[in-house]
Amino acid sequence: MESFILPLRDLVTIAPAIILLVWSAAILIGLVFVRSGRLHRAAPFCFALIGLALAGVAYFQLAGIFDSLPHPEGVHYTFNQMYSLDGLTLFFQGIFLAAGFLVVLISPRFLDEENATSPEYYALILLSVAGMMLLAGAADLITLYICLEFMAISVYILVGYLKAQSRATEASLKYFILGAFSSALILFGMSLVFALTGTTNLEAIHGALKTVGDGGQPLLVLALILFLAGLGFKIAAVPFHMWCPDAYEGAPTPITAFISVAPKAAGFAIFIRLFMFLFQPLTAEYVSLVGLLSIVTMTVGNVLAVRQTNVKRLLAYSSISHAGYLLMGLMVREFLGLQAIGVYLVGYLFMNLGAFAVITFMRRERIGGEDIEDFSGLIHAHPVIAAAMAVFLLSLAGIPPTIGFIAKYWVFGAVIKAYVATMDRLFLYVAVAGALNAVVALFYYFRIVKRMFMGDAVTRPPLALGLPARIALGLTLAGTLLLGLYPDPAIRFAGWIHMTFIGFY
Amino acid sequence: METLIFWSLSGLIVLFALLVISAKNPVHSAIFLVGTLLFMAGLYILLDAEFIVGVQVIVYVGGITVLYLFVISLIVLKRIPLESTLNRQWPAAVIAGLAVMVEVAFFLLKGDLFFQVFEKKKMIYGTGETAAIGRALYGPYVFPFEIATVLLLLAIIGAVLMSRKPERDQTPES
Repeated sequence: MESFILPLRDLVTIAPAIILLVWSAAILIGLVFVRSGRLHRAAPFCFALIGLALAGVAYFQLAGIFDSLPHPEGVHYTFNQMYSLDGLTLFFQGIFLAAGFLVVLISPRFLDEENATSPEYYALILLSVAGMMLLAGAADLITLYICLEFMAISVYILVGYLKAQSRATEASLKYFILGAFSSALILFGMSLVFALTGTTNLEAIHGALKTVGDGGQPLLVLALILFLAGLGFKIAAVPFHMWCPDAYEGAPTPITAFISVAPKAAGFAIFIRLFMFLFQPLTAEYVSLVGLLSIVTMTVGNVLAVRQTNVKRLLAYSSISHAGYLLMGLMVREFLGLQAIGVYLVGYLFMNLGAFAVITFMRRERIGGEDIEDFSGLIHAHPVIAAAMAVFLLSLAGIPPTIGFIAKYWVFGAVIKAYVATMDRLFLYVAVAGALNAVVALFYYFRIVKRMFMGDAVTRPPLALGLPARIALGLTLAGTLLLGLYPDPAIRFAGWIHMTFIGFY
Repeated sequence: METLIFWSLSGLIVLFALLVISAKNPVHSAIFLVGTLLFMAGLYILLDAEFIVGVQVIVYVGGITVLYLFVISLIVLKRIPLESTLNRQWPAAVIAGLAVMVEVAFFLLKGDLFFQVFEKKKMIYGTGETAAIGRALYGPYVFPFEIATVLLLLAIIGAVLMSRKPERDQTPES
């Protein structure tokens, strides 16, 4: 009889997530002692920042160790092969931590405007970041599913946080029901894969599938479709995007910023891990399905974005189309494709969070700050904020010298190279569709820019940004511009994703 | 002996299932559902799956049906007209039900030709199914098990947050 195994030594590998859990617990316990007053508002914010900073320190330690390993490639198991601290894990954990940090920085002003209490809000942000960090490293179907729910449930709650507003409750409920449905689809797909291979470990499944003959093919195709549909919901790809604009519009704006970046990136993290390990035998089906999904997603997202007048909704549709571009990278299951996804996600993190941060700042007194008219003539009253917003929008459109251009360049490069290598026409069609869509996207991004720079100046109550908000704006702006001029760190960082899969084909 | 028990249990399940959908009073439906679920637990006993029997009784009979009853008694029953069970949807429902039945029967008989499923492995965690599940949970699967505990905590926080009355200063009357 074997002894019970609680591998305490392995806890080091999830240290950042544990730190986040501890600090979110500290925030919740502090709630009991401090019930009102200034401290009630300020303390949770400070605790969240400290927690994220400490988790960041732990993360950099782990990343440093990983970077100096003689053989960083492959999966590095801990916890009885339930978790893996590899390149893919570390890349995505960095994205989640950065997103959590920036979102916490832009939150206090918004919560004050909405007159909402904050302790649970920050605790939930820390919890969801912790959930996503564990999700990125899940090396087993069971861990993967539980972490997925972990992340999703905290986000459902955050979307409905301002429950005095009916649209927030509606958004939360919609997101919850469709999210639960998509989780069920993923679970069904997992059960089919388990029926085929008899194991839940991803690497073992990959090995077992090599010996599955034609008899297993139909079941595997079914599982592929179920996974695509379930994960399509999570990343808001097109036939499964219905929840997205409503959830984005109804959520508190900092949370909109958060869900447009972090859970989407988490969706791609499991997308990459699952589809690299599980569906190698189905390359033809995989490429055609993901390619079609990509074309439909970016086209529909862009076309629907053109008519929007609510900026949050507009950016919701724009984020759908960005998911399409990310799927382009996912079509190419090699070094270049994975690296392109990485570069795109780094860019998307800065530019999308920056754009949503500006929308968050626009909320003041009786002004919602969400309508496109609220941006009219912004350049006269607040030139810096208007210029920053213009930079973010240009970057989202993919204009140099911003990181958005580098991201698009890398994605297109990966697809074109795959076309040259395989002569599969689908890669070419996807690239053409992507290029055409970039033109459509320019139109609606520039509508906001035009309103800001050429619209009539309207007298409105002035914006008063606090120090955290300034820091967040500065960081996102610096990320968007500096990485656009010198993208080397982002490209190198993105290369980590592929480390997991070296020596694996 | 086993076949006799099997067929009698199956007959009772079908009978009670029919009663669930034909009863006009929703409370009666829920009680018949309890019967269906209990007899299904009996089928699991025949399969030596004692853990699933326990879960079936605790979760389905003890939890979910009682929840149904709570909901039914929370909405005042007299306001709901006792509806005829044969409404406009029934032809569609019959077709869908038949389709599912044909599917299940087809794959039960011919499934081997279409799907290749891995060979069953022997239990490696000792005898007794419940003990095996416990050993697996606290052995190799301790990591997801611990995350699940945090997940439950999170769900509690969410439920409290969503059901709490808004504080007075939080909703300024305008």
